[in-house]
Amino acid sequence: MASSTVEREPSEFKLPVPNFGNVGLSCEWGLGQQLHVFQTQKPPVNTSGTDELNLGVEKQAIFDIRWNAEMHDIARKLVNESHNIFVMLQGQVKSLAEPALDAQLRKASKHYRGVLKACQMELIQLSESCEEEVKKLKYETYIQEFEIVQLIWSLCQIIFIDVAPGGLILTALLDWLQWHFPEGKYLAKEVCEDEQSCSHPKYWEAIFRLMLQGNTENVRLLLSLHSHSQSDSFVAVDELLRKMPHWTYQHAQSAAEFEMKWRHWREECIRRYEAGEFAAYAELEMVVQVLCGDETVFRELRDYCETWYHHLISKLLYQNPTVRLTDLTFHIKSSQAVFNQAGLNSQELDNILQAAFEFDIHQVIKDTCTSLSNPSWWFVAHLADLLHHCKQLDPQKLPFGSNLREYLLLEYATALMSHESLWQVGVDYLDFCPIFGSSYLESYVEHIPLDNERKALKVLHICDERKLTLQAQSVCKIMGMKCLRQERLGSALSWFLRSKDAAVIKQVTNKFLTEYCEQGKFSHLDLIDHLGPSMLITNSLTFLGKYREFHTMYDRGDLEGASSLLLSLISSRLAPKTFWMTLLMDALPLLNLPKVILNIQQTYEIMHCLEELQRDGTTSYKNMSEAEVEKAKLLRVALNKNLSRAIIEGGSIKVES
Amino acid sequence: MVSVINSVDTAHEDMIHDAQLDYYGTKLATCSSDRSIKLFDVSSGQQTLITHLWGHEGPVWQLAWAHPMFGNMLASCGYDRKVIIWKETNGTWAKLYEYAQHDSSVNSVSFAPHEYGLMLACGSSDGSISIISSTGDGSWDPKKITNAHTMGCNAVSWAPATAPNALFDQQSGQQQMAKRFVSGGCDFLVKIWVEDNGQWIEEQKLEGHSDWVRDVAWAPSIGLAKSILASCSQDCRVIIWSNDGVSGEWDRKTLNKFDDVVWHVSWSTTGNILAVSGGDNKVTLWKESLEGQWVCISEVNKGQGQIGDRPASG
Repeated sequence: MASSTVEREPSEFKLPVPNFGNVGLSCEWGLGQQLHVFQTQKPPVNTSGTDELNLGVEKQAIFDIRWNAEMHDIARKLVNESHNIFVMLQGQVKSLAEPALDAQLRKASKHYRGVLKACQMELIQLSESCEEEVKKLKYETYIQEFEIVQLIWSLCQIIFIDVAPGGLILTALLDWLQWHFPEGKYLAKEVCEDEQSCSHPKYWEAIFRLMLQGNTENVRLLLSLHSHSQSDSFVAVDELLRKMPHWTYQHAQSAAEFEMKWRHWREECIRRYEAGEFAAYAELEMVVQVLCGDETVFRELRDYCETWYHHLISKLLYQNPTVRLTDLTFHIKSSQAVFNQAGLNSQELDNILQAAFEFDIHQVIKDTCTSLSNPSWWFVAHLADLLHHCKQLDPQKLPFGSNLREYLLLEYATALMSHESLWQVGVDYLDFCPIFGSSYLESYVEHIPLDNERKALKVLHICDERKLTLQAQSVCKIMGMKCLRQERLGSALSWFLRSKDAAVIKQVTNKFLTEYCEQGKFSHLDLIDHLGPSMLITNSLTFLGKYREFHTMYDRGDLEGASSLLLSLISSRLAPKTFWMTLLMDALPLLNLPKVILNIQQTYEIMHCLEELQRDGTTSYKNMSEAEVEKAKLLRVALNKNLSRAIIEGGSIKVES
Repeated sequence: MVSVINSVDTAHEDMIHDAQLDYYGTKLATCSSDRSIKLFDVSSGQQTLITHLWGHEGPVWQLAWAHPMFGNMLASCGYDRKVIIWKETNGTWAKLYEYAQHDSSVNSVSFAPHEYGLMLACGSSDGSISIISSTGDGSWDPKKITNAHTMGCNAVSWAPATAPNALFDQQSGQQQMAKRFVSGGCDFLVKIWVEDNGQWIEEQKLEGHSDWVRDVAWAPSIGLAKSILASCSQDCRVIIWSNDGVSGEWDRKTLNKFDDVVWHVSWSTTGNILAVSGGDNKVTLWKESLEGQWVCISEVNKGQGQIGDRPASG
């Protein structure tokens, strides 16, 4: 990897506040790419009081600063559609083998470009219909940046992804030129539509531009519109153009065959040029000079090439059409030299494209990361992913702990995670970052605001799918506590059941029991009735479930079952003390039945419990209401009566202590 | 590209000392020399004042939010030597607990990871650090580390309750989480404290600064068995301390030597970017590059930019 990275100046952002030297700035992080910045005292005094006065700051304001925030809204479509392509591709990488996968990778690259183009078109429309000058300008900048991204992407596709067999690359590069430098085509159309085409001021410019892109068909068309098109010179040029060999890989010809044909043709061009066949028309002679690959004429036509890379490809087309991918690098310098004085293009874009022509993909990505401002967050992540799967990226770990692909995907996902609705897309990207993805997700998922049940369930689902147990528990606990504070016991319990947190479940069940004591009935019956195995999470829940079961049995008339269940509830001492009285009172109707249900032993058990309650709860006993004291008395009487009936029925007295 | 999305005029009558976003970034708390604390709702682009809290008798230095599991709860500390815990009940904010056991200004408060329950650490100019915890039944149990930093403690920050700590305990075969936090003080030291059988003991003393340590920040754990923390000081340096979790040794790396004192460091959510602010009147953002070097990627400065303007680059 070339290490020629220039140390870049950090990007600078100015807050709209006056710069007083004695006032500092401080900040607080938001989620992802967000900072809250505010002015503060400098240095912060922590040992003295308010001896320093308000230092001329008029408003104590806090600024919410974000990166790329705008892009998310402008390029929402780009984010969503490329997300689909990305996810599908990751699946294919897993399931497909080499040749089939290569085809899919090429397809994905084209899809990404398609989405980019569509997004750009949308921006163009927005910009055209926009009447606000400032906004329009903004759109135009974005459009420009999208254009650059497409330029780089399509070149990378040719060089790294959709590599032509045999490394003969010129045909693809010509397509690239025609796609990104449409000026010649537009001019040609304009000229054609003119009534007197050949006297159109741009007639020859159109021809040269088309020539430089190898568009010989249209050159011939334009030449045929010339008033002298029937002259010998014109006919001769037309013949040469017609005969010019074009390389296509569909044709069953070998590169050597093509090269021979081409040399033959060029020799003819040179011969006829030197014979002066075209001397009558200066421009026509220039056209033939291009065909001959004449060095000087390319320098003269520099402006029609606009950039060094256009120049490079145009020249290669007429000088060395079978140039191999790997040899491109040797031709860059001379074309750049032609443009050096001009300083026509931004240095940064030049560097990126040069790195691509030099086959240095790491440099392309690095430069793109630092050079492009807006769409780069989207661009480099997807391109790097694609190239990684094409085996063009070094898969080895970087010092920061993962590889280039993951580094960039994490960056992109981070940008998405800070967006209020695109965070779900971010989650999918993190899923495909094998090293840090899940810990990033752990960090972020807990910070997604749980505005409502639906969103909480969504977050919970994400956690469950990825086995983020701790985070899932945290979500449930937060939601449960929220419900509990709002006195929504049923919802609270169902959230807590999901988190399986015994301590908080106990809190809720105790509230249920208190509610029962106060109102004599349970709310949320279906929840309690369907506890199932979760009943076993904690004793208090077991008690709640069993206690409810007792009531169901009793109501059904299963008195035997009900009484033995009640008895086991009493003797297990699972219930909180405050509930004992209620529990004991439930025995009262069972004691007063015509038939004796509770035997001696069972009656003793209940008596023990009553004793215990009255003994160690003297204070609370005192606090019992009149009615409760009365109830206790009643119970005692009933117990005694039942005991005597049981003894008689049992026919004997067994004393067991 | 960086842009200002919003600006909240807090209407504090004096300098703001701290601003803290709650766990979800939807509520912003600010505190000021005007002795008060303000809470704003900053969700979905709006900024509405929720409440204005009075309770301190001097400048309020720092704030900390508790985990949402415990409801809406905020801690504040100030020059009046007090730490106050505020809580919202049915939409009303009120003082829940006041701790006044320090002999001098309390400079820093920080809530522990929620896994430990309600627990917070506070560092004071009296040189001590208090760790206050609650079982949730309304009672609070303070523990004090006296003479933690001679001349005063300026900052405290908790270690995450995840993997790196657990690794330290693997020798004992236990996966329990050791509670740890870091502090920085006027004795030029950065110290790491660990709880052992209910007692707080000094585990490490990190020497590297040559003047008061102003702030410390333990980085969130991002799946590496590595602990990372940042410290900044009057000596104009920011130091990144890292511990591979195996040897127990802390490795020191100076992030940068600034032109002026540095008094605030804080990590982004995933700990990959460090924000630094100090006497140079800027906030600079530092990120580990592909080559593993810390580089400044962005800086926020003061100037005449307008809200909503397109800045030169981003």
